[in-house]
Amino acid sequence: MKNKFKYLVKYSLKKKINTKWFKIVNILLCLLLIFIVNMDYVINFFGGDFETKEKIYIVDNLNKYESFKNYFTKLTQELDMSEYELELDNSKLTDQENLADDVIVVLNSNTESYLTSEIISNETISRNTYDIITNTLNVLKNEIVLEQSGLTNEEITKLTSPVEVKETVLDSNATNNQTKESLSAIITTVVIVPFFILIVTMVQMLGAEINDEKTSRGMEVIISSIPAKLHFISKVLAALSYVLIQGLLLFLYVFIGIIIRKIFTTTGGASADISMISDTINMLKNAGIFDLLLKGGLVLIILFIISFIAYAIVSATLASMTTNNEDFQQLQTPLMIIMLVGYYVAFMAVIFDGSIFINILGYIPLLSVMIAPTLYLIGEFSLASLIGSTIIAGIATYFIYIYGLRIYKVGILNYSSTKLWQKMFKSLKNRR
Amino acid sequence: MLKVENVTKYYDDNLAVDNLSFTINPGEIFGLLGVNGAGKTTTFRMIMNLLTPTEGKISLNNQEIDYKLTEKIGFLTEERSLLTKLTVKEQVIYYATLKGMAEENILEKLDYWLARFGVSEYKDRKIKELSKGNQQKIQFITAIIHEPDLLVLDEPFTGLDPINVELFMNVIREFKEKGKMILFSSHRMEHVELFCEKLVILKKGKTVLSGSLKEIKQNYQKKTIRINADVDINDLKKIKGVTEAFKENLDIIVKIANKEYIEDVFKVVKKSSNVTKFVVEDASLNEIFLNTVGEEYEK
Repeated sequence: MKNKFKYLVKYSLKKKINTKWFKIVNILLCLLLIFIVNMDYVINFFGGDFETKEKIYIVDNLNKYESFKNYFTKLTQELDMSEYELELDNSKLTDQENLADDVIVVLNSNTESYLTSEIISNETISRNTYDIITNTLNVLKNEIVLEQSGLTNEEITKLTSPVEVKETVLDSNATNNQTKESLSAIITTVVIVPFFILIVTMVQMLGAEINDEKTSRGMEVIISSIPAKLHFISKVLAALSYVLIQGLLLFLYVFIGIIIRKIFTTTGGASADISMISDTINMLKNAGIFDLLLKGGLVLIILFIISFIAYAIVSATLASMTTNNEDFQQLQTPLMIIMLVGYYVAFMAVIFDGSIFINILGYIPLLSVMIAPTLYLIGEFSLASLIGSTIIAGIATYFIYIYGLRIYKVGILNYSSTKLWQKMFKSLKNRR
Repeated sequence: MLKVENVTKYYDDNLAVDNLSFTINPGEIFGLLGVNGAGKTTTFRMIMNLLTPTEGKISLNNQEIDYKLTEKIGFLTEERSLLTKLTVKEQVIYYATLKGMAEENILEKLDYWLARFGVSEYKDRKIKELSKGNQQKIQFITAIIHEPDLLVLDEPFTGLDPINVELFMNVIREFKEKGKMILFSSHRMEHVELFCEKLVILKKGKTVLSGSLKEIKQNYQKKTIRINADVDINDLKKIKGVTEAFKENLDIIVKIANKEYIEDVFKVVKKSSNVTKFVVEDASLNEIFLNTVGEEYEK
């Protein structure tokens, strides 16, 4: 029986990974992830409008071009936006026909409001460009007003210099709130999204496989040779092995992408650098993520595995109840919604910092796999809470298995949808 | 030996099989007959350990059926039990492994059986690409490849042309000669008559007829007389004990209530001219079935 069980697991896994489509999809996934990791290189390689700087012509009727330029440059540097080029050209107003994508900013003197301006362009300029120009003009206006106020240069400098702020955080272990939002994006992208995709794929595959065996009377031949319990466990185990293999492959593809990125950088084959990755790593380091992973990594892996098993059991149970793939697709919709809830709540965990409701959801099995890791990594869950959530998931999965198996034993050989729910509820009481 | 002893099966309050008993000895072909809902599939499922009897016992070689014993049973379901997305080779390996065979052994035997059934070229083709008849051959191979002690065949000839029916029959006969037990169900009474030594006819779960085919036929009172002569059918119909008389091709068929009336019919025929045939036949199994069950066999 042990050999048959091993064979069933191997057969089921082989059916998932030893196919033409698995290979094709993985080649595509590999290329896609390498592309995502190196997207800036690729964009730079192909070039485009973003490479040409947006030209702003200044028509200066105030003789304040240098001040304008200084304030403008300072502002764009602070905002890390260097795609502008300023040029003083007082004759540009008469040459508007050749303006193309460029912009004209006219600086005019005004006795009442000191400074007025006009922005001329062929098409509406972007919100960013407009904000930078208007902010520069406001600062320039302040300068003009102060110059005419009779204050000394020293007083003007003191007045315009930024206020010095000293930030004191009393809790030395506190996470930097400013990095939390970025952190949430990283956690959801790196952990939650792949998990979500893997579960959806697993649920679909498992359902299709069981239905495939059930729609023909093949299930009778199979269940007459091996107990329904072993068949059930073999399907769950094969599904779990599949997601683990596919998950590892996804990480491998990202790793290949990073290596390629590094090769590009060291050989100077592209203009972009690896600052994005090193910035991210630094941010994660500063936020204490690596320390948290070191402490709770094992618990997180256990939680992931337990939850994969729980989803696989529910999926196999639902598939056993249905008689065709269409019915299974409908029946699995609530499962998908549960996953979506977990996914969105994990996103919201950062926005609703300290939410009691979200913290409670972090303990609910099937949801906890997406919420608890997020809460733990943003510092809302302690390690003890994470362990608690994992234990609850483990206990719930055990009961899902016990009752799922009871339904599976009856459902797998049931070909009729008449009194289906009655039969399934009745099977829950069947201890055999 | 397969022993079904006083087996009863209820689905909730519905009685599916009522106190069924029969025995199949090594080298015997046994027929399980009945219309839809008679309890045949439930009986097969109980023998295959897919259902547990509410009462009674099923044993194979003096051991109660369990998963170790089902390895010794080959099962051919009436409906397709093949996984159409697999290739023939994958399919046979799948089911044969579940029957406890090693892969090398499976491949060796698979080549033999594929050649025997004339489908060697389909070994690496997907099941769904095969014709209905060829799918039936593959399904049959999956049931026999592990050389089971007991072969449960539910409608084995479905979708087969007469040549392939003969091919299947030969293989089944070989199994019988090897001392295997064969439990057989078919809609085609001529197949049952050709094959089965013993049979049970079920009606709504109850056994309405059981025993050896020979005894059943002999004990069945009604006989058929096949006549070829220039005789008036109306004269035959007037004879006491004649239940029916009609023309069938060149012959006249006369049905009589029991063998006592043979002589009366013969006396009338004797008076007519050109008598070339007067044959007394036992009733066909189909006739016995119709009279016993009271309705036409499922089509």
